[in-house]
This record gives sequence, C-alpha cells and structure tokens, in this order.
Amino acid sequence: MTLLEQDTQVLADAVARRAAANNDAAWPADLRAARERALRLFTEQGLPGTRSEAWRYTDLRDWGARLAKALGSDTRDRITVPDATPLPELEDAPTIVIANGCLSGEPGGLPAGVTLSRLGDPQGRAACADALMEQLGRGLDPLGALNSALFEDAVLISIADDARIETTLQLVLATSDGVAAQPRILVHLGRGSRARLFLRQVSSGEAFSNALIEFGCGEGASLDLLRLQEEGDRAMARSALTFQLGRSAQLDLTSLDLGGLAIRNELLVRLHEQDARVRINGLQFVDGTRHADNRSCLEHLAPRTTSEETFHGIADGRGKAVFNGLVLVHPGANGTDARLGNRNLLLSPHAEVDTKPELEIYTDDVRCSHGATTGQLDADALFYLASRGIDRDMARRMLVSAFARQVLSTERWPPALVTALGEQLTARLPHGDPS
Amino acid sequence: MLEITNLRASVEGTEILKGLDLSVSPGEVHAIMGPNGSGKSTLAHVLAGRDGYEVTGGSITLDGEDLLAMEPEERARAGVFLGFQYPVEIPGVSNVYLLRAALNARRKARGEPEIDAVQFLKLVREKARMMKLEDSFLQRGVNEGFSGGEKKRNEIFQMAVLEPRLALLDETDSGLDIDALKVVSSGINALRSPARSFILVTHYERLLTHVQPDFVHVLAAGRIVRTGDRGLAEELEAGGYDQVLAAVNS
Ligand SMILES: Nc1ncnc2c1ncn2[C@@H]1O[C@H](COP(=O)(O)OP(=O)(O)OP(=O)(O)O)[C@@H](O)[C@H]1O
Ligand SMILES: [Mg+2]
Repeated sequence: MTLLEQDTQVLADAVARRAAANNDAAWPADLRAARERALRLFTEQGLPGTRSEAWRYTDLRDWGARLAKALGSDTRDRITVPDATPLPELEDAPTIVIANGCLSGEPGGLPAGVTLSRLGDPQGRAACADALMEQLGRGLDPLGALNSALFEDAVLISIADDARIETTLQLVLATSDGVAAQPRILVHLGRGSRARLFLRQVSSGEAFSNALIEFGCGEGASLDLLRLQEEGDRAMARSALTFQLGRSAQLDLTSLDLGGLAIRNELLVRLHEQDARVRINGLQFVDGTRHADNRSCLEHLAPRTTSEETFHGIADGRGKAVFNGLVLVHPGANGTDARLGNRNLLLSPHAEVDTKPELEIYTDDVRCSHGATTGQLDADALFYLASRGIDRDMARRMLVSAFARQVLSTERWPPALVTALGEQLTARLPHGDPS
Repeated sequence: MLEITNLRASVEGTEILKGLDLSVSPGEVHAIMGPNGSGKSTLAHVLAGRDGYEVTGGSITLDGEDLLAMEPEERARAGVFLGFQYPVEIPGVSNVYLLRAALNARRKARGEPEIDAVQFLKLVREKARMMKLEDSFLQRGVNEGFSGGEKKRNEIFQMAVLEPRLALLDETDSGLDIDALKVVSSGINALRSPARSFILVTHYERLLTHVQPDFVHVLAAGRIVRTGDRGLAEELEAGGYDQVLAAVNS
C-alpha cells in the first residue's frame, strides 16, 4: 500500500519548506549539498509503504500525516520539553539533553576524556561535519534521508583513546507535543576506551521523533548501552542505531521499549574486525492499540566475532509486537559464534506478535543458532502459584514481570538501577503491581 | 476433616476416578499406593483444584465446607497444600518471593497485615536449614535448574513455611537418594501434629518406614479398593499389585 498521492505531495512540500528553513548558511558547503541530495532522495521516494518487506508490519501512513502537520506548524518557542524521571544511581550523572533534535543547554560535569561537539557551534563544527559527511556518503533509506535533510543540529560525543569512563553518561532524547524531531548523534569510542551510556527517550503528546545515532567503537573499546524508551502513549518514534565495532571491541546493549503509540527501531551492528563481540538483551511491550516493531541486523564481517541476542516481546490488549532479527555471516568470518533468540508472550486474544529470526550464512566455520517462540502464560506455572494461595491476577503479574525482567542483567549496571528498572517494568506491565 | 464421597472425575472425557471414598481425620497420615495410571495424581489435582479435571459426581468437604466450590488459591488459603509429583520451574520468580507472596495472600484473605520482613527471613532460613537447603536456594528461581531431589526437598520446604492443615504429597519420595529421603521424611515428621493431616502418595514402602502411616490405601482403576495398616504396604512390596488386586477381585 502506498501513501495517497495528495498526502505524499503535502508531505514533500512540508519537508522541502522545512529543509530550506533549516539549511544553515554557516554549515560547510559540502554538508549542505549532501543535505540537498538527501532531500531529493526523500522527495523521490517518499515514505516506504507496507509492500516493502522491511515495512511490512509498520504502516507509515499515519506517521506521514503527523509529520506533515508537525512540520507545518512552528511552535518552537512555546513548547515545553518533557523531563525524564530521575533513576537511582543516576541523579548526578552528567546528562546530555537533546530537546526536539537540538542540544539543550551546556551539559556540565562531563568527565575527563569525554568531549562534546556540535554542528551548531563553530568550534566543534568541523569535527561533526566530517563525521556526518562520512555517514551521508554511505547511502540512506527514506527515513535516514528525511533526518539528513531536516536535522537542525548534530552532536558528536567522543571518548578519548584509553579513557576508562566509569561514570554513566546520560543521553536524553526529549520530544514535545506537536513537534517532529530529527535527532542526529554520533558517538566515537577511541581505542581501548570504555564508556557507559544510558539513552532515554521521552516525549509528550503527539510527538514525532526520527533519531539516527551512530556509534563507532575503536580497537578494544567497550561500550555498555542501556536504552530506555518511555515515549508518551501518543508518540510516534523511530530510531536507527548503528554500531561499527573494531578489533576486540565489545558492545553490551540492553534495550527496553515500554511506551509509544507507534515505535520502530532499527539496530545495525557491524562486527567489522576480528574478535569483536556484541550482546543484546531486548524487551518490547505493547498494550492498548500500541505498536512496536524492532528490527536488528547483526553482521559478522571478520573472524571470531560473537553475537548473542535475546529479545522478549509482550503483547496485551490489541497491541502488536513485531520482531525481525537477522544474523548475517559474511564470507571469511570464520569462527563466528551467533545466537539469536526471540520469545513472546501473548496476553490477550486480540494482541498480535509477528516474529522472524533469520540466519544468512556465507561461510562454513560457524556456530549459529536461532529460534523464536510465541505463547501464553504457562498454565502449569499459574496453577503452581495458585496452589500456594496466590490469586490469579497476582500470579499472572508475577509471571509477566519475571519474563520481562529476564532481559535485565545486573552484571553491567548498578544493582540499585537494575532494581529500579525492574520495578518500573513491573509497574508498566499489565496489572502493574499497585503495592 | 476431609470427606471424599463417591468422587467421580474425568479428564478430556475419560473417567479416571470412579466413585472414590476417603475420610481423613485431624492428625492422621494416610498413604495411597496404586499402579501407574490408577488416578493418584488425578485425585491430588482434583483436591487442589487444577483446571481440566471435570468432577462428574460425588463431593469433597474440608471441615464441612464444599471444597469443590472453591478456587485453587482459596483451597490453599483454607490449608490445602499440594506437593507436586513434578514441581514446576518458574524462572525469574525467586523462592523467597513466592513464599512471601503466598504467606501474604493468606494473611490478606484473613484481614491480617503483611508479614514483617525480619520475621519472614528468620522463618524461611530456619525451615531451609531444616530441609538442608543452602540459603542461596532462597534467591534462586522457583525450581529453576534444581535437580529432581532438590525440587522435592523444595516442596517440603514450602510446606514447612506455609504450615498447611492438609498436605497432599504426590510421590515426594520418588527420585530421592537415601540421605534426601531421610531429610524429607524428618521434614514431614517434624510437621506432624494433632491438627495436621497428610495424604502421602507413594510407590515405595520405604517411605513408610520413616513416616509411620495410620492407614494404607490401594487405589486401583479409580477407586480405593483396599485399606489397611502398614502391613498392607509390606504385602504390596512382597507380592505386587497383581496379587493384592486378585485377592480383592475374587
Ligand atoms: N491431562 C490429561 N490428559 C489426558 N489423560 C490424562 C491427563 N491427566 C491424567 N490422564 C490420564 O489419567 C490416568 C491417571 O493418571 P494419574 O496421573 O492420575 O495416574 P497416577 O496414579 O498418578 O500414576 P503414576 O503412578 O504413574 O504417577 C492416566 O491414564 C493418565 O494417562
Ligand atoms: Mg502420579
């Protein structure tokens, strides 16, 4: 199905007008030219329809309408930016807030070894622009093109070589009611460095967010990333996270999608050099008429690279949870070890889960496994709990919460934070524990 | 205390219990033996209120109350405890969490406040020691990765914490090594009291040398076909079911 032609035109016009307004004359000429190319690409292609395999389960027609409306009204000066509720252990964490796609204020207290530059600031401009040009040269999907044509600022977070940053850095993406934000973020971890990043996504009202975040991890670098998506229940948000891992680099990602009306996440991890490792634990929860679509692509490009992905989905009400996980083992990636698992819990007869784990392997010397299950709460476990005196509601709550919490690992994050996140999960889940 | 009269129950349209009678008074220990597939676990499940078992006739009362009218959790709060033949693994729900929820559910139903955290920990630690379970077991997911014997010990541990009035132990002695059998038996013996009754489903006379039963019943083809004392268990051990059942039928 494609967008109605008239709507497509309205959207293209709105995007073009905004792109012209956002094209800052102070930015380097080649960057501005690249943005114009991105705009042309978007204008030509429009938003992908559900006939395209990658968008089969997420229909962007409503997104297009919301986007056109947000681009048409300039409410920038009157908006309030939603806050992320503080979590234990992170009250004093250095926090970088990207409000409606722009860096908000000057984040203080960044630890030594961390530098922040942004396109909007003449000092950091060159570094940002170089990194962006590299990205823009690599080809863009339609939503990537949209972001590239429209972003109002770009932020580059760099971790110096060998810097071991033990403090957790917080990165908050906040989107206001009625705004279409295009956050653009680059994170570079220098060789042998280590960092912990807590990425939060919040919004209010009819927000639209289309974030592109690219991570580069140098040789031996280690990144722990915790992503907590708590968009408001009328938000439409898409995020594309890409990771390039150098030799022996490590990524540990925990990704929690709890909110949003319509959510689409794309995760691309390129295990580019030998001995790179990635571990992903993910959870998506939908209820009401909410929709979440998580795609991941883990590319093994070099020998002895390891990937392990565990993704849980919970669908209640008339919610729809989509998971698509691809492990791609390229020729020459000998000794690859890849495990991909997706488990889903259907809590209502009207909820829907679509899952497709895939392996594509072009070398012999690999150990790969993948699997997906979708089921209801275990009747034996429910009876076992009932036989101990626990009522049905409480028993269901315990099992759902246990299923969700399995993706939370205490190894990498402070126990108090993990406990608080676990409580937040339980509260958010069906029959959230009132006590 | 427990009166089962002419109980008939089916699973998926097949009648399994065919007019079963059993009467248990406070403080008594009843052993139920019987061939595989004779309906012992079915009886235990029907008593505990498991879905999928259709009671087509007869009655069960606990202290004069209609047990069959109660939900499984209500039966548990009324003092019925089922020790499962195959305890279920519940990853992510810790043993202590389960026990606290279970105790508090019962307290809530009685209008009592939640159990004090310190008192609770003291209680579970003490009972875990009695069952020779390490403290680390308390934090592990319910039966998650437990060995067969550990699962059975865990059932008795839960029973010890929950202090039921009527304990139905379905083959709790199966799969136990010699030491574990002693631990489980002494756990059961420690809980014997004039107010508490036990129904022990077992295949082995050995358990009954540790836990002295007041009655031994033979369940065959959905009914109690013989009742006796410990001597009946020995008779079964010596002659097998064929001989004993042949005597009943003739
Ligand atoms: N859910 C079920 N679906 C179909 N048949 C069942 C079900 N549960 C029990 N049965 C049947 O009911 C009969 C009695 O089973 P039950 O488990 O009560 O036997 P048991 O006496 O406990 O045997 P064992 O000594 O092997 O534990 C068996 O024939 C069994 O196959
Ligand atoms: Mg049985």
